[in-house]
Amino acid sequence: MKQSTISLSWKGVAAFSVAALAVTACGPDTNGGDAAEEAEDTDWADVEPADSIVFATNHPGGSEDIEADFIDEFTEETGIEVEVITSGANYEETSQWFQTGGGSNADVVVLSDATWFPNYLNDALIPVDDVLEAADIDVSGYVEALYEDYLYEGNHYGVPYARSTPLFYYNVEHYDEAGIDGPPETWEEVAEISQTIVDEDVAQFGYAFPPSDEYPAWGMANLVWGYGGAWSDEWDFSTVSSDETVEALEFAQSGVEDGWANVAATSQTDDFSSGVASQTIQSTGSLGGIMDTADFEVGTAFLPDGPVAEGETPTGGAGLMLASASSPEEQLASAMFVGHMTSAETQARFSEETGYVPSHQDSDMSQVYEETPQFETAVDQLERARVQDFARVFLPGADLELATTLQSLLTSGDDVREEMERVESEFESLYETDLADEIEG
Amino acid sequence: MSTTTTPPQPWADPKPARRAKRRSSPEWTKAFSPRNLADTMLTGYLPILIALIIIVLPLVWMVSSSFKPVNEIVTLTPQLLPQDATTENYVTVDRRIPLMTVLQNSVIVTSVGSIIKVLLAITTAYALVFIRVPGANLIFLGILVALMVPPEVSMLPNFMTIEALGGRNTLWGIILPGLGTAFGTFLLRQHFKSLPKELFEAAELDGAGHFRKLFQIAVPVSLPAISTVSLVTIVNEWNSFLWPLIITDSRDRMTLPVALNQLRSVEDQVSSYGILMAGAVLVIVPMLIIFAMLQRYIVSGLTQGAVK
Repeated sequence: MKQSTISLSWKGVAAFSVAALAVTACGPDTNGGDAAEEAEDTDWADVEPADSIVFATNHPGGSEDIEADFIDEFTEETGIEVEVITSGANYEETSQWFQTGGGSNADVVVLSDATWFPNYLNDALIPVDDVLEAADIDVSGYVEALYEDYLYEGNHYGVPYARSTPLFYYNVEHYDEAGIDGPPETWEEVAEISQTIVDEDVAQFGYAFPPSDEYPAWGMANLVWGYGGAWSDEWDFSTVSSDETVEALEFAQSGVEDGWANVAATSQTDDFSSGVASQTIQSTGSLGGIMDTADFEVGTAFLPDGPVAEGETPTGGAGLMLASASSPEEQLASAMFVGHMTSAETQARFSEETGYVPSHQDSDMSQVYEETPQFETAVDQLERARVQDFARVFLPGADLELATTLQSLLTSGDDVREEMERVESEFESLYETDLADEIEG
Repeated sequence: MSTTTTPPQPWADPKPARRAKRRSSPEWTKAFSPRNLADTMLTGYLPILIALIIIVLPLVWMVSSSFKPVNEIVTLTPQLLPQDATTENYVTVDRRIPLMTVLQNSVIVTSVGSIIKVLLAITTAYALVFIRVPGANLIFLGILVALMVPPEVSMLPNFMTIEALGGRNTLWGIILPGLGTAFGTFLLRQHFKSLPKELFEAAELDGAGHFRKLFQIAVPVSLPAISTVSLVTIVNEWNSFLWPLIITDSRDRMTLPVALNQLRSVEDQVSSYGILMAGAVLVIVPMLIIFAMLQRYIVSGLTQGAVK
């Protein structure tokens, strides 16, 4: 009797488990139509802009108030109503939201350098070239390096909006105390200055490297490029374990081993602003926060040169994308809105408020630079901008892989070449499973 | 009383008195003997103190930080108390999110959600124990299975169902999927099983139906257990984050934790520590009050199983 109860019970467990599994196996249908082709078929001359659109944003850089101002101006100008949805606190949340429920009603969405491509792969975005032309938006005004980030297979899939680059920050008081004249121009000088700062006991560390959750592969691309390496050359991942890349990372590793640099525990911003480390590289978007926090004078400089290349800077931040699920009328209205949000005048005010670099070449920032000259470094540095390596921005999961590997390399002293060869094969398999069919098929 | 004033009698031998004194002295000095002191300190006060510091210090630090300007938070010379106290962080929280609206949403979701949940748990548990239903054990097993499946697993089907029902950006959409509470049912079922049968037989003899037996006997004698379930439910509902985050994107319908999450902004992290601390204080304070109110019941509820 007892026996049969137990077996009955187990049948119950089994039945419920199967039911639970069956329920969870149902996912959404991800096979959408080919958005690019659909958009190309639209004859924009016949389309009238819609009366209202939905704008999904995470207010990058704490820009909620100023975004609301821009939207009011746009509505006043065109009569098109804009409904704002706060789609998350960061880019990943926004992208998740857009891919799940939000995609069905958002017309314009803020997506970052590393999150727009998966959405493109899901056919959730339309190419903006034709629709921007139909809306009379002159794309030649955008900073070229920033706009070209959204170019894929002959079409652009976004417009640069809240764009940033990494910037070299230094503690002016520490420099004075250690008797250092000015910011370093090369990585070799970064090491020397940092060593001096540590030797003179001015600060605990001369330089702070980012931890894994501060996107180290973004800022450190400059170091790797400087040595002639890269995270990838288009879809060729062999460069991630090339001699040059390995040499660059060994340099960084030796910095931590020799004691002139550390890997920040929470964020290099915290270490720098509190005075634990005298120099760091962090986004321009953090400039405002650092200036608020730091008790000392903050200096900014171009990213350092490497032995092979001048200090090239990766671009980052977010753009505005148009949803493929919207009707052509909404897409046209969205294009007009996108044009307004990225105009020379809007971008100047946006930059002043947030610290992002203006994405329009004609933005007048002279007054801001007079008050806070640190902002100017970021904009001047755009001349050295370089489009990011495919591996980091296009390969799903690769940025995370790089981030965790970089952190463990810098903190543990593992063999760099061995680790980067492992990363390379990891990239190959990520590519095979996630991208090969989409790109080659 | 008089013994202290009475002069020593000549016939009395002072020695036994001294001996007695020596014998009686341990009664009160024993408490201060090094051995006893060490015992009490090491096994009693020290662990309590350490536990208290571990639990309370972060909370104190959070409250203190919420009144600090950011340069006192990110600094090499941290102080426990704000040197230049400011309410700016709270003002910023209030400016960025509609505090009253989201607070109201949270209160509604928590109160409606927990009342229904607890009610369902009580009635289900009662039915499982006192009503003869064919396959009651099987149903109970199903509840146990539900307890083993992590809630994240059902997130997607829930989302699709609620969205199809038109529940996005509604308060009922937040409340509905969480209503079945396996934990509460399980806990109360075990508790009801331990109640003396005689109580219910007596009630039955007096002509009480199930309804009376449940609300006039089972519930009153199980108050500590029910309070424990209520408390856990209320705290869970209040802190619930993932589901409300997924199902709402309009600020008019957000709960407090979700809205406070929007205080975080990309690339603005370092200057937002104080604001986040202020937000965290606002979320925690109502819970602390509820804990303080129900504390008596929680302790008795928790120890109940142990002393049975």
